[in-house]
Amino acid sequence: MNRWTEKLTFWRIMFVIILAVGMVAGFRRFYLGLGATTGLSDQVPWGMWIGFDVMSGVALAAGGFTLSALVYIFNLKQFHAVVRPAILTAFLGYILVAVGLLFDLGRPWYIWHPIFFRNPHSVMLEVAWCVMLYLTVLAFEFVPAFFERLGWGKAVKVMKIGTPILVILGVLLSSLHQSSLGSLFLIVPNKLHPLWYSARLPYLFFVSAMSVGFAMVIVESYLSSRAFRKELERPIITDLGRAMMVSLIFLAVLRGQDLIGRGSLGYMFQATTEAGLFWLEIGLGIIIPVILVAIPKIRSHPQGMFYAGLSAVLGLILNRMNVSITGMAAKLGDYFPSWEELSITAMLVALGFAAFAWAVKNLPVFGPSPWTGTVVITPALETERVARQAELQPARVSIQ
Amino acid sequence: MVAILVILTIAAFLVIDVLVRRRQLAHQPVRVFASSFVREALQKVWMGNPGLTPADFRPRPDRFYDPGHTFVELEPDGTVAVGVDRFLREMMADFRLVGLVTPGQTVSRGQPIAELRSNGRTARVLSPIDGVVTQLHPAMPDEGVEPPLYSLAPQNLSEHLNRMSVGEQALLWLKGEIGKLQGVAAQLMPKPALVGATSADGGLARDPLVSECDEAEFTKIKNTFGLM
Repeated sequence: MNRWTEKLTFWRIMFVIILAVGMVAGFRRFYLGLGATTGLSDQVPWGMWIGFDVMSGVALAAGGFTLSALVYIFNLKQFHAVVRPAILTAFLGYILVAVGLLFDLGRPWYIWHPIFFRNPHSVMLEVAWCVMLYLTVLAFEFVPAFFERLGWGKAVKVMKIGTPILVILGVLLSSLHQSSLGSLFLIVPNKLHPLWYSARLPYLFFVSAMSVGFAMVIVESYLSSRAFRKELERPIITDLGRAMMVSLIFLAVLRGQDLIGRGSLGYMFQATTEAGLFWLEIGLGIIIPVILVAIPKIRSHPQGMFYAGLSAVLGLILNRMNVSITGMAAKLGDYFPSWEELSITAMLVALGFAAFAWAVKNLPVFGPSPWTGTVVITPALETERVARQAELQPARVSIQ
Repeated sequence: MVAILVILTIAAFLVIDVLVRRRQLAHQPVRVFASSFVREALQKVWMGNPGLTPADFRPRPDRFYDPGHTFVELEPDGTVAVGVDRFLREMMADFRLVGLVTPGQTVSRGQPIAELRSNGRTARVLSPIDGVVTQLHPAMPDEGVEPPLYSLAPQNLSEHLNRMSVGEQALLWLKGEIGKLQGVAAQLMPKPALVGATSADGGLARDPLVSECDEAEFTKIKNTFGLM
């Protein structure tokens, strides 16, 4: 087997296929336009790209600000080892959100307009500004990894001085736009199903994003440890699981109180598609992860924690899809994404995975494991080792 | 329905990943010497310092140790407790130990009683003694204490015990096994490129000092330590 065929794994082949199909779809979308290549219409202007790429993408990137806040603001140093991977996920997530938006905007070349042509009455202005600024903050937060890789010690020191300011800015901007994404739906009280429409959508979006921030860090840590054979920081994962459980319970209380307060509890028990999807969302997003984490045996098992985190992540994706698509289907009409929409979304996700893998392999993303220590081998040390080994050769046994 | 489509797509990818991974694992090397204290000791040896000693494995003076890395402990009621010794558990820390016997089953010396499993590879632990299984013991959380796997109503006890080591004899035997372990480790990972860099203060080498071995090497290890 030669070098190239050895490197051709199943997922790499899949990546190439997804990328190729996505590029064809992307070309078609820009060449033929939105109407010809998407399931979107004047009645349903937001579909897959907004519901999944933007709404879910932003929420799943919340691990960056959540972990930064825990470590740098609340001084919970035990989470330090997972801050950088969380920031990387957030950074890549937001880049993909921006790229996804380029596909969704009718005239993507005007994406910079909110910078100069501001409508202060639009929630979108705040979202646009926050996302732009937070993406910049994330770039500054992650750039020390490049400097470390290049051996630019002074630059790393300079960046570290600015870390507290960046973190505070990041937390502030994230809190603002995570909630503002919920605020976007406040203008559709008559279109969004009562199971999801609420005046409390802004803080429900914020709390759910925060909870899933923990879940995403668990999921990415587990997958990274598996893919790159890193030591999994089990105590950190367990602590993150606890934090996730508490925040999900808090979210459940808020949602329950919201439904009762609006008198919408009854909709949960109707035989409708919305009710079914609502239960699926609550089951995956809250009930299953909370139960899994509450069981000590599962909590102490990395795979168990992975499944708990994954369930919470799927629940959040369902929530955002329900709010932006399912909840409005009855009033706006059916929408089903075209193959171009699906392919482009798949391409963006695949690119996200590939970029994460590249960064982990080439940059100091994960902290040193307990086994690495200070890894400096010098010629003198090697000479000493050889000399010592010659003197004190361990008993060698042939195992032919 | 779009939401369902998204969730099902993610679920489908996860299922495919599990299947692909299962297939890959079957062809992947397995890790030996994964236990932290074995790793530390091997690193010390690698740097020319004294490594493991028999006392590190805390052999109990009231237990008879078989060359196949099982032990036999005589119970007051005439039965014997049988288990896997700490040496093997530490050496194969990444492996899952699965019992292969059931109460009432007759086992003979040399018959597989438990299986160590990892990445699709298995090493079978052989019974040190003949007899009928009377009771299985639940797994204990601290495996470092050599928990017994099951109890046995023994047959040909004295004959089998003669082949085992106890007390000082067990320590001597363990010393030989440690020598074998270090020898195997030296053969499997003598290359600095594989071992990785080591800190100047005698610190720990980079992961994986833990040796990965292929099918042929794993078979040699099994033969060396009396496994099947």
